[in-house]
Amino acid sequence: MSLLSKKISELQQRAENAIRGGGDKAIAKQVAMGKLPARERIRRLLDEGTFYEYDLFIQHDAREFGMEKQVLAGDGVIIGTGKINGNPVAVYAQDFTVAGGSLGSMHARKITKIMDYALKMRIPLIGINDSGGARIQEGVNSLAGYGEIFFRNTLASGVIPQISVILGPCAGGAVYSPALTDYVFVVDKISKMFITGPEVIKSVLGEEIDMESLGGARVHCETTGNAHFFAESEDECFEQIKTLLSYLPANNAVKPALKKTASPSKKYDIEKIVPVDPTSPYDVRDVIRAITDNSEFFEVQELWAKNIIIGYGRIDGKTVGFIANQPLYLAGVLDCDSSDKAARFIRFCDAFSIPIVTLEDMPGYLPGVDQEHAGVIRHGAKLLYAYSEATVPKITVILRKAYGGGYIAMNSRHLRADFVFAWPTAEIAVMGPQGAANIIFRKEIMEAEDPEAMRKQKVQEYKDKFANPYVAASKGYIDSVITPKDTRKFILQSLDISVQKNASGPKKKHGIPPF
Amino acid sequence: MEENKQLIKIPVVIQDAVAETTTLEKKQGGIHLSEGGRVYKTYLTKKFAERKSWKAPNPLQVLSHIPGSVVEICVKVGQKVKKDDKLMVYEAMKMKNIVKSPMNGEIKEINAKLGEHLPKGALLLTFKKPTGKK
Repeated sequence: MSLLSKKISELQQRAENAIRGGGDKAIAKQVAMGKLPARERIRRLLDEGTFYEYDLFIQHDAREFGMEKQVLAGDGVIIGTGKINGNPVAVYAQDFTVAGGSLGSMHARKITKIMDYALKMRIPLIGINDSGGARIQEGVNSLAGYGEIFFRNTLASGVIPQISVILGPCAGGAVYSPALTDYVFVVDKISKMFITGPEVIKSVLGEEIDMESLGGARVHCETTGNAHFFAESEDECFEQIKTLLSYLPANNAVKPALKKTASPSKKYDIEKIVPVDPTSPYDVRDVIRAITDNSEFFEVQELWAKNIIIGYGRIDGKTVGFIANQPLYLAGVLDCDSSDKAARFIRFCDAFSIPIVTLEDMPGYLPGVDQEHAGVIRHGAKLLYAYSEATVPKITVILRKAYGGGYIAMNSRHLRADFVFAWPTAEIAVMGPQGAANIIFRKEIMEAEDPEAMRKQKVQEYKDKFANPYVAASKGYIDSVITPKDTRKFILQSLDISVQKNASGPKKKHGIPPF
Repeated sequence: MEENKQLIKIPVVIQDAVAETTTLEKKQGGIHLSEGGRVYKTYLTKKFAERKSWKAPNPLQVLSHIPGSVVEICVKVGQKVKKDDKLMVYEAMKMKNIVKSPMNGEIKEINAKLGEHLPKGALLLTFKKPTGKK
């Protein structure tokens, strides 16, 4: 054996040992829990044969509690680069088979290395989380590691897309890295996220709850809004990530890749989707599909705050962010959660040069003590802030109801929408006919011989006069009243016109959004 | 226990597994919090003191999500329905909202009355407990 082959064989031996992670037994246990091993996850996520690993031979430097005798393969995390849809990405995956994926200082240093790399190279970052939390033996060094990660998440925010994939426990302080990233993916029965677990909650507050109901995938998708994508399996989750990335640019200085265009499917007849009767519900996603290329729509946060729809589609091959009131749920009202959901999406689109199309059909903000006490003023303001601040092309189509404060909030001309269109079915007014008639004609109604008949008459009068798009059109608040069938044409033309849009505001360090 | 000495515990360590807990004692105006022999003085916020304990939702009950009124009831007591079947039309916020069945099951009781104005969280309908397994 030559000296070189000896050296090479030593390298191979070392690599083999490191790649084995926590060993066959630990890997078998991981699989028994219904989870894929960390390396297999990376393999399935990335384009075949594109993964290059770094820092395989990292060793922890803990010297307390007998740690000096322990060798932890790769210190419980795998980092590297690869490609998805042919485009470069940086990735890390915590390896639960090595010391429970616990985060020590070298483990954190590997993660921050790949984060620095992603930021410097301006490529998306994907973090796969599967960890028991801080490595207690490493004490404050472990906490320092989390802090370094959070700082970098914030630094990279709005520069490169950051994706968190929760494929195991992610508890305590560890949850804040995903919370700082742009998109959180979870898988049913595998993902668990919480600050304090069920045992603590029981002993402290006496509330009994199981882990799944406290911080399982479904809870974070339906109730908390912490997660953005729900999958039944890890493979489905990886497919979702690939689809999401296909819509996004690699960083904030480039535009998303164009995809070959295709017309919307004939299955979605835009004139038949929306009932003329403003009290009849429908699925606004069908309207989006009647507009987008190939009728494709990739929804974000499908299960949370269902009264507003957000997600991506393409028009003439270009990525567009859609925001639409959803009459199918809660009558499509704006409330705390829906404002929060849409506002964050708008800021993402704005940061990454993705034009925003808003489809409006909403009766206003949801009344109620719980909403007021939950801070609907503060949350609702996020939506106004996000729309006003965004300088990407902004197009609004008013389908039916646009009442009151909600009309202003949903990307109105007054918040500097570039183009506002309305269907002939649009009702743009300060409030609904019932409420408005009761206030404006209170005296006439009260003094009438038959107040009920008078009320009806006045409601009808108000409806005829104001529940239409023409009052707003007469003031130039909307640019055109268009037929539903022309919607795609008008949006496409508006996007074409706006390619070189320049609408920079005054110089400032940063604004102060209401959060 | 005296009224002003109500004992509760609050967590002091934010970590995943079992955290250390601390005993909290309500004393005239303030709260004395002791942890491993050390005593802190602190106050409960009004919101914390008045918070409602979490209760698991009853899967057999259909509740309103928004203030409004039932304008149409599409099922009868004893009727068997499938998931996503139309149960009621619930008018709220200028919209005739369709209340769909959350499960396959049998209607035990219709709790809401036609036309009655209801708050958020009102009981609309109750399902019969499925027999057999569970």
